[in-house]
Amino acid sequence: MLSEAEIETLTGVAGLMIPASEAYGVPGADDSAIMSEIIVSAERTEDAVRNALAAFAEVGDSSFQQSHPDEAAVLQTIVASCYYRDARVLVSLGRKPQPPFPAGHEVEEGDFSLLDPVRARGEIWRKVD
Amino acid sequence: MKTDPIDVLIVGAGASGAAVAWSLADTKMRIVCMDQGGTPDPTQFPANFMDWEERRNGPDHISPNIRKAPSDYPINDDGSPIKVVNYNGVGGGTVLFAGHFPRLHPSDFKVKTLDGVADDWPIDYQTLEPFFAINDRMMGVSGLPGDTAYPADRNNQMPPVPLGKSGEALAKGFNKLGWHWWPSDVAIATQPYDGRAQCINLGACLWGCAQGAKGSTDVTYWPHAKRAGVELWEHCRVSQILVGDDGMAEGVLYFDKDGVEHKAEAHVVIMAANGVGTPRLLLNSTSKQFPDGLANSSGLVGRNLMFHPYSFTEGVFDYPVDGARGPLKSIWSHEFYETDPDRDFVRGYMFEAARGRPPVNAALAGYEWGTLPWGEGHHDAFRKLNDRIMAFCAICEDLPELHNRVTLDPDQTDANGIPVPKIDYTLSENSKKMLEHSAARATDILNAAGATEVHAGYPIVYAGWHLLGTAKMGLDPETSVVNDWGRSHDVKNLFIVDGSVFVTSGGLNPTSTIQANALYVADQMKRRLANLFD
Repeated sequence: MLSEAEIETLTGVAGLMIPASEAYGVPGADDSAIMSEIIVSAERTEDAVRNALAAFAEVGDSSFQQSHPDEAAVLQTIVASCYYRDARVLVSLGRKPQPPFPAGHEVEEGDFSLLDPVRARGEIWRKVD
Repeated sequence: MKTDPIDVLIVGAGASGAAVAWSLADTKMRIVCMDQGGTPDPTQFPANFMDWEERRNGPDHISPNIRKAPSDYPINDDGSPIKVVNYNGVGGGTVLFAGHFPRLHPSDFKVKTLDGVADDWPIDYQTLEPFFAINDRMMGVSGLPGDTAYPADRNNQMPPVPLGKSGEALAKGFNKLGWHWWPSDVAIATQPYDGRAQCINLGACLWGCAQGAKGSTDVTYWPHAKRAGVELWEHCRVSQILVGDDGMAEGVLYFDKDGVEHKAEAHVVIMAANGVGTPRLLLNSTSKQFPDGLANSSGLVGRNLMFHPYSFTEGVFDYPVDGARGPLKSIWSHEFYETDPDRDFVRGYMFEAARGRPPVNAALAGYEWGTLPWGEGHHDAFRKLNDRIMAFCAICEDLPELHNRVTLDPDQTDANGIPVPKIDYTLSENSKKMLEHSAARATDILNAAGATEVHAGYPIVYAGWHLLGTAKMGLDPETSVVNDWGRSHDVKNLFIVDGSVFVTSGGLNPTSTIQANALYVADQMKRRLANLFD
């Protein structure tokens, strides 16, 4: 389990990474509901997270993204995975707050007449005899 | 379980095991298929859950080394830039495949004759053509007949999957360049088909189809095979094929799900455990008669491993496209499939469109590309990625090389104490040049389609989907493992029907051809029942 101090650092990183936005009406990644999911995720890869948090503590700001890309990637994966499934965030992106199944999605059939020039060119497969 | 002798014992219930089991069922022999996993539960596929994207990175990862399910066995692929991905259970790799369903081209069977590389196959496209057709009906293939990249002998069971905004934009890009494209053949039901519901565009094909529209063999072949009397023994992990004093296979040793070892006797053994699992078991089946592993007098079991190196290129657009909505595949292109003497490599590759990224993955792409900052600018930058990424990959022909191989790890074993497979694989210079070419041409296409930025990378690391070549088919026992109808040269009641028997890989997804070959082998067995072991 992560220590209280580590969770505090992780919360700080999450808020620094994705802050709340009034313009888009979305919480930051340090929102308590999102953080509770982030903590569960982080504890699945506890060692890597702990190392990344230790590295972050030495830098302390968003330059960490450039200075420690591997460690930043560990934290980004966890924070983004939990942030971009939050219902409030999905709604702000114009999505329904639900998993893909069972509703599915509408996808346009598209214009199959675009194949006309391909047909006009004729066969391209390589004959073997 | 019945105690009658088993006539045919099949190891592996995936793409090829299901096909061969179904075909042989009409002999009324007692057929048992063992799989180390169970039948997947579609209510547990990631697409059912809000955290579906995260599940893909952990308990539902495509790599068995990360997923670590009880049915998985570790694979030591430290010695390979491409990592093995698979599904160990009924349906095998088809549970996690995209359903992309091209056939090998007629030219793929003649690469030595045409291009002077590798070897010709001992069979040709015409040999497999009737079995391609049967397999298409069983798997249920959507598409549009008339593709100019193939002989005019293909019919589809259902209309093509939707092009969507992404497929249409790419199609316009191809047209601008004057290059071939066509709606992909996909084993996904676009209409209700053979008990399967139609696709509702979940966009999660690679992690199991919760809708049941994708043609994984647990929902295509297996219901038919079981109704016809085939016994499917789940959670049975085969460790060795046993041979008698006469040098014939006499059955297998296997572990049940409680780890208890059993022996099952059989008159015929068919290996369908994929291009890593099959050589692993053959190499682990040593005996006085076969000290170097079963069916291995040529020394080729495990050698010539072919993966298909992939390049992956993504474009960002200034308008919304499909995101991850829709079947993963929409269109393909065979423009660069064949050898061109003006290029610095032989053979070629197929392009396949791959829709886009769902939100979490779009964010991770932005981080990787350095376009998604921390802090104040995050939200504006993310909205320039959300639903605006279009992906495109090239699947490059991998030529056989002896040093690319599967062996048994001398140190590591699985949960049942069976040595795990060890992969040693390097990308050839030919593959590297092909990957570079494919990424450059993919960039051309995405630019022609209107991308505002393009990001290319290769090889994709977790893309060892296609496990081919490790028990090569051929006429000469000194240079091949099985004959031209899948029977081991060394052990006359041992057959191999998975991708191990591929002589060359082609530059496209092999499942259609693997299954057509499995049906062809089954047909040959049925025709020769009276003298099968002669």
